[in-house]
Amino acid sequence: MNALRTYVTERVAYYLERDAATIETDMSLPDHGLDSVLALALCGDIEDHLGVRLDPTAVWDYPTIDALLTYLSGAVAEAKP
Amino acid sequence: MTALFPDAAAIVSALGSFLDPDNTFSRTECARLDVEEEFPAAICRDLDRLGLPAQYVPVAQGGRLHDHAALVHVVRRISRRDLTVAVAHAKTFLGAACVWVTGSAGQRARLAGDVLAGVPVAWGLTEPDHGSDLVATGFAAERAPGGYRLTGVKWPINNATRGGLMCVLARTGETAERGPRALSLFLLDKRTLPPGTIECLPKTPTHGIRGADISGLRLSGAPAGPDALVGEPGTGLDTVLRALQLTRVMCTGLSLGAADQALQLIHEYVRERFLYQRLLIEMPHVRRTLGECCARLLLAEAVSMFASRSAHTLTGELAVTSALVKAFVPAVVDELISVGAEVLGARAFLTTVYADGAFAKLERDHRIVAIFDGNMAVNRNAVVNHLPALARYGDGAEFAAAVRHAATLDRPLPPIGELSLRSRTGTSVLRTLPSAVAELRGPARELGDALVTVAERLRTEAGRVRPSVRDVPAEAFELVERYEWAFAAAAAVHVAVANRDRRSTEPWWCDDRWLRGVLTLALDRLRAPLPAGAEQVFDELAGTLTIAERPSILPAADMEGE
Repeated sequence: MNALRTYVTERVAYYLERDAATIETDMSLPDHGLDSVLALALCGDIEDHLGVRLDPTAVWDYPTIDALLTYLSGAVAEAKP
Repeated sequence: MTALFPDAAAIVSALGSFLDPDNTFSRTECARLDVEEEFPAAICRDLDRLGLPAQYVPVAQGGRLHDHAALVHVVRRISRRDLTVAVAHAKTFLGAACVWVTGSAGQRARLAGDVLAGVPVAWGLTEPDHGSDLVATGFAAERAPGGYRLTGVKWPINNATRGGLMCVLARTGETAERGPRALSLFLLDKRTLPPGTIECLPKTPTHGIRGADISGLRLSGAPAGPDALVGEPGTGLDTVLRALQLTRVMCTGLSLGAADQALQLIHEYVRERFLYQRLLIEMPHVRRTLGECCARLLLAEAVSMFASRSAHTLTGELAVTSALVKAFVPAVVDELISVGAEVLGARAFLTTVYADGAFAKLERDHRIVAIFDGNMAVNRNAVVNHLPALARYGDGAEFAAAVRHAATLDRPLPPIGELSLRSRTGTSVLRTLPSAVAELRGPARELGDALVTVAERLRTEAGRVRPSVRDVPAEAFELVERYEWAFAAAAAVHVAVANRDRRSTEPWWCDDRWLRGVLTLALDRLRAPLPAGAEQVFDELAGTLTIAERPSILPAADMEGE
């Protein structure tokens, strides 16, 4: 889970063009500039990284890193038989 | 070959000749309506009577829509006569698309009944202060006993006044909430709203499509019952983004019709006009320009037909396919029109001298196609966000069958699949290009190989683009523009190899003529080295025009009946 947290935080930092150290995991991503379209791109990255299919709008529904990680742990558990 | 799109052929032939001023839908009447800035009401009534609205309604709802290429084609046939009429009428499909994508069974049935009865439907997305920025939507839907109350302004909106129904994007969340889940869609029946809650804003004068109803709607606490909500609350933006994939593909029909019309006017002029004791068409540079214009039209047509058919077989890629064609097709047709204007000289500028000023009108009318339903910047931005994914994928062998199916123009299509907001598989058209090119022989093969080289280089460049919160750099837009050309050319290769065996005796198909023309055009644009003498294909195309008239990859039966 820590590895996934690091990955997602780094991707968010990449899109927001900020240092990963400045990204808080409970901050609202849209409020910090991650618009609806970049959110789709982020979701695609995570999908490729984990090798699971996610709802493309997952980042719309879970707009903080913490909420997203909770959702992802569920999605990964579901994907495993 | 028989017509691929018999419905469109029947509607067009029932309209009678466009050149006969006694017909309702005639060039003379369209010119008059444009001068008077008058809505083409009688023409739209005729189109209703001839069954055009059924083309906008899925078969499952009692309509005739089962093939999005047929929708593109019927819009093209109307646009070839008059873009104002096409924009005014086909707008109903845009207004209805969200309900087809996500509406309840009851909503779909009710809307189908209205559309089939000829009620115009409008699509209320744009607002005065934030055009393309949908997340900034301010039009408010507040919870109220028995549903919602809607307050706000939608403007400028096509058919806002004439539409009996309007599908509007509204804010159901908190005003300060920026996220996409704050937005919901409503299908409003303007005819039933209480007086005092609804006001239509006056027609806005426009540069082109002067007769169209470009106006607005102001609501003040208008009631909307729960049955007006389209999809779940908070799903407005994803529904709009899905519906836009279908409407952007449909818009290519507007540009194709404009290109047909432009080329016809240019061709008629150059074969009748004498200059220095010669016909214009006999002058080498005029023939070359004419052939290049044919190639632009054929490329636009090939990629539009492919994209609309791929909506059925590669539905999951439509997020990127639709953005590519909505940016590319209007742009290449604008280019055709402006090159044509140079050939026509003063005739393109004078508003009454040649063909009732049809060319000048066409030039004005077509400008709107690049703007509405997501302008070029919006579409290129959508592609930019896909670029890293487009660069990442392998050879796409698993999608070769779906690509071939889409490219085989006379093969029946399955119903459209699930629309996705993001293409997980990039663009299979480019990924499977090398295997399609391997089927080409002779001069077409040489051009195809050059395209493969360019496409591979583009893929490397795409991998270097970084989507971010910062404004998209101009270089990324320029890269997307080249990507559009490569995508269109690759689609043309697929269409050519999938159909040429059955079509090789037709003038545009013989010796891979149209394919060599569009590949030469595209490679030149992509700054790839051309085989010696490749440009002569444009003279061949100009020559073909004199025997086959309308440049098209479709069977002649689909282009006749004017």
